[in-house]
Amino acid sequence: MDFILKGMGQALMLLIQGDPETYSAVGVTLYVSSVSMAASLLTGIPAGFILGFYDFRGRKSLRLIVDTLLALPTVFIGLLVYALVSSRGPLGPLGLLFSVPAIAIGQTILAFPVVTALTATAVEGMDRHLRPTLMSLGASRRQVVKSCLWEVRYGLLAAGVTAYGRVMTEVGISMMVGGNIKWHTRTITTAIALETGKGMFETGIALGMVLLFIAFAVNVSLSFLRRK
Amino acid sequence: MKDPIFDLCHIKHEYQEKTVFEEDHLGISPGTITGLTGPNGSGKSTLLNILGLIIKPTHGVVTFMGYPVGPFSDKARHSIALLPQQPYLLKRSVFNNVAYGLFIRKDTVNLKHRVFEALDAVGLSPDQFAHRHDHQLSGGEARRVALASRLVLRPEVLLLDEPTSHVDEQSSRLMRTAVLNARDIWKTTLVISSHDREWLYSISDTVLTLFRGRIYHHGRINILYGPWEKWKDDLYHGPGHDNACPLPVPEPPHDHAVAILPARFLGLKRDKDAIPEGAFSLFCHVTGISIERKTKKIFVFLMNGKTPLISEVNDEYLSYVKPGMRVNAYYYLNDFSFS
Repeated sequence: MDFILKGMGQALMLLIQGDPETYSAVGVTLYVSSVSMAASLLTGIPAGFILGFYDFRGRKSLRLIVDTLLALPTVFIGLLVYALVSSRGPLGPLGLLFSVPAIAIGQTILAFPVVTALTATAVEGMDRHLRPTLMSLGASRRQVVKSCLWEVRYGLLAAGVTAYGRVMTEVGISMMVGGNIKWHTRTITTAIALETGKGMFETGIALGMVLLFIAFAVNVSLSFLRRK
Repeated sequence: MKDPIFDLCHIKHEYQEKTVFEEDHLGISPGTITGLTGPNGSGKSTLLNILGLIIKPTHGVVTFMGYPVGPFSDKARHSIALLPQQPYLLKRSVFNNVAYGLFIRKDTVNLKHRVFEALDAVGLSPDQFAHRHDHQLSGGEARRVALASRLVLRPEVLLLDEPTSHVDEQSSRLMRTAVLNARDIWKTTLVISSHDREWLYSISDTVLTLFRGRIYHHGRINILYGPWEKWKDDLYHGPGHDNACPLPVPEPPHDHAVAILPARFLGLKRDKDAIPEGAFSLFCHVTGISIERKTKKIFVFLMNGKTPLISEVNDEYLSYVKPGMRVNAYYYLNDFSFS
């Protein structure tokens, strides 16, 4: 038990003193998760809206596929992206292997089904009187879509938070396609895995606390937005 | 006669392969109030949704001011407003709910004044209600906010689907006043469906009776429907008349035929007065009296068991017919027609 408490104390010191290695991992994590979240929200929200709002042929099958993708293992995504960006893969010439963009691609694939499925669920749960109400007030097609999205904004926030949670905490993708390169592609989670393997619990716990703090800050901001 | 503001030609609307509304031709004149009456499921809401450009009929053409229109039609969507039977308030403040239609029209000049005026028109104090949230309103208040969000648009056509159902008497009265003001002040064309027959008949220029997705007649009529059961001799009666006072009709052409008796052919006598020879009579209770706005004709609303009836009477009846009293209604069999 002692080494955990000692680790927590030393973790605080690392954070307060601004340990460059720790902050490098935090910086990479924040950057890559922001890029992947932006990409997954930009593609996942429209996809989820179409899936939840419109009735088209094959919709149920598509929904089943998206729901299945919610359980995608991160190591499988890592493998897939590795195959794509390695020198033998179709994106090989771009030289993305063991780079931050490669991690971002993998995390986007991870977050996309989460955002899509939860957006579709929120849109499906929308009051069925909303669309005729908006039309009865003279809204155009685009205005109907915008207003519907605004009406389900809390559902979209929940989709974003859930996807962010998965992206922030994944290890498999970052390790496989990022390579855990110090100062370059080392994220909080890969650093924790490495430090724990080396027996350096203090750094591991410090990074874990940062991860928790980021998650806390995100949720506090969203809760504030929700109250507004 | 002015050109109709709405013209419906060969309209047929199907839902799950079942025809829910069908009409060869219907024109609605500008500046008029058209009432829609009929039992639940008769097609009133479908007609209002077609006129409100919420649904596109399966067949046929709807023209508005001479232009063929449909859902999201730029020619009409800013001129027509529909208050659905179950209006939905957006998840935002009362002010933003009322202002929504103005925002999407980018018509925000003097916004606050116009929103407050609309709230006033439906009897909601702007100071008390403008900043409340949708979930802080009672059912009647929410309905009035929904009406205010249509009135603020000052539409050329206002369509109201059961505007006063499920609201208390005060809300109902305020909504009626607001609707009549829209007609009188802005010359809005109104189409209103309501189960409140007295009110509907008293304000409408034309009342359309719908039944099983069809408009049966223009004017005040009684509709009786099957399945028909033989009563005695060559007389039949519909469902709900197995009490001591059935409403017999001549032999219907088929089981689903609809029997029609114009209001002017349903006479009234006091309980103790003699009925003319050859006429059938039945005891009814008076539920209301209404005077037609344009013609000043007097209509008495009656209930025979569960069957609502309407009778057109002379002003001499006004002296003794009162709501709640029992009267003798009478008619001749040959005044019935079948459709």
